[in-house]
Amino acid sequence: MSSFSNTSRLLNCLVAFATKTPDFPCPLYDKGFQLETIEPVILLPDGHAAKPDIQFRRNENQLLFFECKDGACERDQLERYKQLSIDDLKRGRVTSLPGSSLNLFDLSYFGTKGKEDKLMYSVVNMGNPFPLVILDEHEVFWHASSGQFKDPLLTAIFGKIEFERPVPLSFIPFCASDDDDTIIICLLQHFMSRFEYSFTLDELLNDLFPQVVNYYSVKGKDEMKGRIGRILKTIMMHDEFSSALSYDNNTQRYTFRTMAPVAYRRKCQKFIEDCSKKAKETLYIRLEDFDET
Amino acid sequence: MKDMKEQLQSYLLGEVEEDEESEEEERGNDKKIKTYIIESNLPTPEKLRGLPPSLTVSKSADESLYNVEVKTSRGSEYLFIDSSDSRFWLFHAALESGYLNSIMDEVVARNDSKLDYSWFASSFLERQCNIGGGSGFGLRYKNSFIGRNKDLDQKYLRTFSMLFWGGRPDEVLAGLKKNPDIASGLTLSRVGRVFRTDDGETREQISRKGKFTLFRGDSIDTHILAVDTIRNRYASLIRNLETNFRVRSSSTEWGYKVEGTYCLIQMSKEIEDMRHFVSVLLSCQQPFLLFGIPQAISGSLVKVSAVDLHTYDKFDMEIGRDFIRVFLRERSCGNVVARLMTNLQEFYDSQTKLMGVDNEQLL
Repeated sequence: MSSFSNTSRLLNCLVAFATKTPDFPCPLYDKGFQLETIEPVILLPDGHAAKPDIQFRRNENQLLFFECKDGACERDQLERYKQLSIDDLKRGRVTSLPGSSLNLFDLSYFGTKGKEDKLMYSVVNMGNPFPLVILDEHEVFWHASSGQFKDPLLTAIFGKIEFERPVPLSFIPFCASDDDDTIIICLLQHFMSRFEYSFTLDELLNDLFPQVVNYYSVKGKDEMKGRIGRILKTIMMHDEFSSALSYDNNTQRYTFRTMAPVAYRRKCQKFIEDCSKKAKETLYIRLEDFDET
Repeated sequence: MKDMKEQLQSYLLGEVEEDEESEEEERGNDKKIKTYIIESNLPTPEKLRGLPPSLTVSKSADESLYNVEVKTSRGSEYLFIDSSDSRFWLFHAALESGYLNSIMDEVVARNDSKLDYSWFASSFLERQCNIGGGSGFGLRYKNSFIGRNKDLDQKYLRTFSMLFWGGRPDEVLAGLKKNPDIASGLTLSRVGRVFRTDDGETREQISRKGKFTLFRGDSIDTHILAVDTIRNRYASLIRNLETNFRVRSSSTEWGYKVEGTYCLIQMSKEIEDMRHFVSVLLSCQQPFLLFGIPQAISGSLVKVSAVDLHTYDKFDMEIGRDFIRVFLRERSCGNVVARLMTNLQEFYDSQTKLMGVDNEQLL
C-alpha cells in the first residue's frame, strides 16, 4: 500500500521548506518566511471563499499562498484566486499581521512533474497570471513560462531548489485529499496506542485530528465523520478485526479490544494486503484527470 | 535517604574487593552495589504495574524514597527507588547481578510499563560518561539485520565483542577505530571510570542500559555523585529531543498549523534489504520494542506509522537507504530515540549518529 497522495507530498514539501531540518533545504525559512496557516479560508466580496492549501507570512507586510495541485486546476478556483486582493486579506483577518501594514502577497500553484503539462495547460495556457512551481524527484523549480511572483525574492528562491533526499512526508500525516488508505493507517496506529478504546465518531475525530476538527465547518465535520464511519465499517467487516472492533447502536459507541502487539501487527498486515488487492481490482478515474477542456 | 545511604555505605565498606576483570559479574553472581537510572512516565513508584509477586513496594519516611522488598529463597533483600527526580528514578540494589537484571527486565522491559532504561548509546558512553579517569571498556556488537543472504554475511561484520581493562583505554579504542574492517562493530557496551571526590573514590562500570556497577570504593556519596552527573547529562539530551525535535499541530484563529522538526539517524552504511530491516525493527520485540505500519513510498523510502511499546505513544519514521527521520509527536517520549539509537549501534552499525538541524551530533 503506497497510497501517500501527491497533494500531501506537495504540502509536506512546502512545510519542510519553511522548517529547519537536518537534511532538507529550507529556503523559505532562510529568507524569513514562517508557516502561518494550513488550509486558510478567505471570504471574497461575492460570498464565495478562496481556500489555498497553505499560507506563509514574512516580516510585517507580506503573505504567500500556495495551492497544491496534482493535476489540472478547476476554472472556478482560478477565478476566485484572480479576484483575491489585499483588501480581502485585510477584511478577512486571515493573518496575524497587522492589517495596516499588509501590502504584498503572492499566490502560486505548486504541482508535480508527472502532471506538469495538465497544470500548465489549465493555469498558463488559459491566460491565468499565477506562477507555477513544480516538484520533481530531486528539485523544485519555477516554470519560466508561467506568471511572475510579485516579490522577486520568491523568483530567486524558487528558480531552482535542489535536494538529494526524498521530501519529508510526516509533518502532515494526512490531508483531506488523501485516499482512505492513509486514514486507515492513521486509525490502525491510533488503535494500537489505546487500551480497550471506546469512542464515538466525534471523539475519534477529536483524538485523531483535533487541529482540523476545531476549525472545520459543521458540513466539513459531517463529511469527515461519514468517511471515517465508512472506513470503520470496512475494518469491522474484515475477518481479522470482526471480533476486535464492534459498534453498539444504542450508545453509538465503538469499542476496540486491545490485543498483543505481535498479533495486532499480523492482523494489520493482512488487512492492508487485502485492501491493496481490492484497490487494484477497482479502476479509479479521478475527475481532475479529465478537467482539460 | 540518609538511612539508605548509610546502609549502602556500610555494605560497601564490608564488601570483599574484586577486580573489574573478575568473572563474577559475567557469571551474574557478583553482589556489587548497582544503580540503574530509569526513565519514568509514572507519577510515583506506587503506581508500578504488573510487578512479580516476589516484589512489594512500600513508602519510606522520605517521601521520594521507596523500599522494594524482594523475597528470595534466602529471605528478604531490598532494592531502593529514589524518585526525587520525577522523570529519572534511581534504582539502588546490592543483589546478585543476574538476578537483579531479571528483576529489572520484569519491572521495566514489559510493554506498557511506562518505564524504560536510560539508553546509553556507544557515543554517549564514550563522550558523556567520561567522568574521572578511564579504566577500561567493553565492546559488544551483533548484526541482527543480516538476512539469510550469505553474500551479505561475508561482506559485513556479524559479531564482535571484547573486554579491555587496563591503562589508557581511550588510546586502545582509538587504535581499534583505525581499522575500517571492524569500525562498524566497535560499539561500546560499557566503560570503566575511576571517580574521585573529597569524600573518597569509586571505580564504576557504566553500561548501555544506564546501569552503574560500583566495583570498588569507599564512598557511597561519590558513587551517587557520579550517577547524578551522568543522569543530568542524559536528562539534558532527552529534554533537548522533546523540546526541539517534536512536531506539533495546533489550531489557530485562522486554521491550523504545524510546528517543530525531526531528528535524523544517519547510518554509515546502506540498508541492503529494506524489507528485512523494517521487519526486524518493527517486530514489536526486544530490544527495539516498536510497533509500526510501514508504507513503501518508493524503492528507497519507507514511511512508518509507529507506536513506542513502552509508553504506547505514537510517532513516525521515514526510513531511507542510510538514514531514519524520526518525527516525535506532541506526547512522544524522547527516550524512544535514545533506545533506537543505542540498539541500532549494537545491532546494525556502531557508526550510526543522531543529528540535529545545525549538523550537530546529538548522539
